[in-house]
Amino acid sequence: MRTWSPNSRTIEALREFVAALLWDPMFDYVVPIERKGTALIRAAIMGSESPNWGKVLAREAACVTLANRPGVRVLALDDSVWSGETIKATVGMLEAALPRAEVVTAAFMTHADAPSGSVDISYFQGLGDNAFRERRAAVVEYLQQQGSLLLDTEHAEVAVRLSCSSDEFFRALAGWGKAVKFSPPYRLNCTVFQHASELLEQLRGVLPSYADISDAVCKVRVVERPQISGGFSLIPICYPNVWLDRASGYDHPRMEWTKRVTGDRLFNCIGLCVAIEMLVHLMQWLDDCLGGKVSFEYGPAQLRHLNAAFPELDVDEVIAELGRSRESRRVRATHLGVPDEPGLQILEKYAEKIKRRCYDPGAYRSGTVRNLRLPEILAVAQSEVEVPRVSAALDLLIDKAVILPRVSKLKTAKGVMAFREFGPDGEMVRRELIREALLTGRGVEVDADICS
Amino acid sequence: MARNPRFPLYLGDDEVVSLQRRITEIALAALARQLGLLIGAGFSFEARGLPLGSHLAVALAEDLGYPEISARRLADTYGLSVIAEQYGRVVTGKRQQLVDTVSRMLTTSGDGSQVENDLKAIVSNCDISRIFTTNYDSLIETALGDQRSATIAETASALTKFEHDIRRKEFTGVFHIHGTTTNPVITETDLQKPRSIFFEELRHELLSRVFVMVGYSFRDESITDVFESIYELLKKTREERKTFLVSPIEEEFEYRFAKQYWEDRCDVCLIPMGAGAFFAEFLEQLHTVGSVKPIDEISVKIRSSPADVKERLKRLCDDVPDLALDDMAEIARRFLAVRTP
Repeated sequence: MRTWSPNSRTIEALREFVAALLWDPMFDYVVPIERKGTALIRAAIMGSESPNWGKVLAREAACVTLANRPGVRVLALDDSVWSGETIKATVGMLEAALPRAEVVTAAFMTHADAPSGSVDISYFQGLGDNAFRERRAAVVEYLQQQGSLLLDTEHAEVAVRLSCSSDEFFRALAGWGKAVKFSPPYRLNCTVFQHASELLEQLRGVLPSYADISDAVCKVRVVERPQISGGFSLIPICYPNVWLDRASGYDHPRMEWTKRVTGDRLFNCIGLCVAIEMLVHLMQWLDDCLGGKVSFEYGPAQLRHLNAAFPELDVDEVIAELGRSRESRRVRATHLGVPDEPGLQILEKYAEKIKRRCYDPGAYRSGTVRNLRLPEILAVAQSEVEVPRVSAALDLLIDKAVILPRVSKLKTAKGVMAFREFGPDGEMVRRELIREALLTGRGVEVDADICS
Repeated sequence: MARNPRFPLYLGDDEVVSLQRRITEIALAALARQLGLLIGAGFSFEARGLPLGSHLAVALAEDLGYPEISARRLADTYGLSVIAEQYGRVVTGKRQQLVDTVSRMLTTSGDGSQVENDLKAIVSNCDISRIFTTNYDSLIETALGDQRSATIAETASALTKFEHDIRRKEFTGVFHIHGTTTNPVITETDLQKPRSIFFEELRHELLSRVFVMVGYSFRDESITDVFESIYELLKKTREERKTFLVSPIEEEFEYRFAKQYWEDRCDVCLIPMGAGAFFAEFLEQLHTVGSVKPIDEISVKIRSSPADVKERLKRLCDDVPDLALDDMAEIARRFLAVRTP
């Protein structure tokens, strides 16, 4: 069902634009750029009559999978282009890895500052700041309606069906971790936060020696599926830091496909496997806690999107791994908890603080805005009780496309470490951040010339 | 301050400032979704060198076997419609060959030009849902892209469908008032047939919007008739709708003459620019229109002209590349609001 809003006309244009490109037989493969590009593809695929991820490849995966495919036609798709740097880097990466491929670029909109010819196909071109802001808001609204920003192609998703009240379900979740419920537009959300150190024992079996979980993002996002009564999705997220130069490969004890993943994608692969392990633990907990009142669905339809990021991935192995939650075992002692429901207003205050932390007039190496690592974000909390709320506020920012998670690498004396960090999602957010900071008088120097 | 090269040299500085203000008015109307647009052959000529009506007439006369000088004289004396009529009578295959010849002359390929890019940017920024054109070629659709635009067929059902679609989705309908290359209204006989139903759409736009005609000579009687009837209607009801005619005029005497003529005739404001220069200036105004109010406020406070304030702010923007002109204008305005009573 489509809801009318002032953005409806733009949303319809977006929907048709993406669908036409995605199913255009001119292109053998579609490579989405960053989170919103991926989310657009996901929304188009899930909205089609026969969902098919066969044409979609994540950027890094495309470079590996298509390297020996001469003449292949690839479409690099982004939601928007401002400076053109990201799309240029993507095209550069694809052309270097696939010298005999034909790469075409497309974006729903381009900003007036985008260099001429930065994309081959666009719907809106040369937008000024206000027009860009309006159209971007429509993109985000559409993705929020579809629930697509929540899930990157590298996260697993398991569907849950309840035959108990959702209240009971959330209390069971709050027994497992620190659950924070919130209701942004379109669907009920819950972030179940865990300190990585508390899960270490359960995860040790799949954690390689060169991964460090101590600072890792460790949570399960629970999202309502509005079209299904008693339906929710569980999305586990856990990214240990990985010392890439010490990693010769990853060998999951049960999933053979992981051996075929190489290079920087090891970070994402380890993240997925650790997250699945954490999810199995949670599913067992819910099973023990709620008995037959909860059931899980994790067939190929729920997991096929993972092939976009991991073409090597064997869906059957992932299904078997998730099936471990059903293995017969001694029922564990569980307990119910009370989910925290601070309300959106309070979470938005935390979100604002996180956003402002990105503004750093001292760090001029990359302008005045920088990316934050998880401990820096969680430091927004004044007390231990606030930590899960800050984590939920971060989710709120990601879902609104204000903050974008990225994988970065750092060279230290101990080696090269890959880790996840969070920064402004695009040039517009970045500029607004600086503008807000300057308008409130932070780090401003006005040229005396204007006042003379 | 450097002179804006988009305006003809014969204009005085005050006239340039005044015309820039007019273009700002157009930009404000466009941002308020109140802009009507009619595009003529001057656009296609500047964008891709496609022939103007007079060039088409010469080419058709040459096709009839006249040498170039004679063809030019015939084109000047009789005009496109008469020569096209004659072409249809003389040439074997008649109508189809005329259509094929016109179509061949108006076909383009290759990369888009800056004028086309600027048109797409204007339409993208302002959500312009209707563009009227007297051109047969499909260059406007090419510039906007297949998905972003649609050629509206000249039937009542197509109009109904367009009305429905435009409420559902953001895109632009292109109304070819004189048909397209496949069914051009080009001969005298064609022109004597009942008017296109698009004229009803055009009347509505003229009544309700700030209307701009770009690359159009405004010599087409069927359009001037509609325009004058709307002008009279609005005069009777004591309402005003500003209309702008954008046309390149090389000589000062011609500009002075034409400016007065259009002002007296239907209160049309003449902007002596080609389509490319106009679109570029319009686009610049669109992007900086947000800074107009704070700049005006600052200029009063520091007793300097708005243009001077804009220049100074632009220099500040160069130091802080993360901020746009309107950001900087707003910041400066707030600081000055504290410093100056």
